[in-house]
Amino acid sequence: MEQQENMSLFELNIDGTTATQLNATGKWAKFCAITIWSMIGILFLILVFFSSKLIDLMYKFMPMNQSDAFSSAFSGSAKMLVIIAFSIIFGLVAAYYGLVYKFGSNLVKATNDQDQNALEKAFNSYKTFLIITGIITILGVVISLFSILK
Amino acid sequence: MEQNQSEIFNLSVTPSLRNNMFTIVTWAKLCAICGFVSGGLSLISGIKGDNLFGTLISTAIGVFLNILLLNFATKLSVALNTNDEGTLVESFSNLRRYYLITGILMIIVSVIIVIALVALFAFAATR
Repeated sequence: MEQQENMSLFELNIDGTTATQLNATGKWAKFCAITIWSMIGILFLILVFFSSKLIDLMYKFMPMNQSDAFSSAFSGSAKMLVIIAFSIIFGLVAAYYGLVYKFGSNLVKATNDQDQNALEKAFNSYKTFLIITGIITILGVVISLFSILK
Repeated sequence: MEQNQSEIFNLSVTPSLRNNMFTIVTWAKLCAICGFVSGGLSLISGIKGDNLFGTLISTAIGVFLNILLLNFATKLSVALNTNDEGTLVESFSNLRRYYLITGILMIIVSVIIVIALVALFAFAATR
C-alpha cells in the first residue's frame, strides 16, 4: 500500500492545464479526420457518378494519338477496375484517418470524463497512426531520393 | 476544494501509457526528421523544375509543422524522463498547435478543391 502511494508520488499527473491542451488537441484531430472523410466521400461520389464525364474531359486535353490509346484503355471493364482500385485506396486512407478520429474522440472523452481507460486508448491509436505515418514517410523519402538521383 | 483537486489529478501517466508515449516519441521524431529530408528533396526538385514558388510555400508549411511535431516529441521525452508537468504542458501545446494548423490548412484545401471541381464541371458543361 505504502509502496503504491510512493509510486503515485513520482507518477506524472495530468493537471487542468494539460487536460485543456489535450482536449483542444482532440477536438482539432477529430475535425481533421472528419474533413478528410468528407473529402474522400465527395471524391468517391464524383468517381462513381461522373467518371464517364471526367474521362471525356481528359480526352479533350490530350493530343489525338494519346487520346485514342486512353480511350481504348478506359473502355468497359478497365473503367470498372479503376473505380475499384480508387475505392480501395479511399478505404485505406479512411481507415488510416480513423486512427486520428479515435485518438481525438478518446482524448476528448478522457479529459471530459476523467477517463483513464480512454486516455490509454487515445495514445494507443496515436502510436499506431504514427508508426504507419513513419513507414509511409520513409518510403516517400526513398522514392523521391531515387527519382532525384535518376 | 479538496474534492476539486482530486478530480483534476484523476488522470495520470501510468506505466503502460508511458511505454506508448515513448514509442510515440520515437516515431514522431522519425516522422519529423523524414519530413525535413523530404522537404529538402522537394526543394531540390523544385529548383530543377519550374514551380519554385509553389514548392517554397509547401516546403515552408511542411517544415513548420514538422518543427511542431519534433518539439512535441522532444518535450514529451524530457517530461517523461524528468516527471516535469510543465514540460508535459509545453509538449501537448505543440501537438495542439500542430493539429490546429493542419485543421486550418484542411479547410483552405477543401475550399480550393470544391471551387476547382465546380469550375471543372462548369467548363465541361460549356463544351
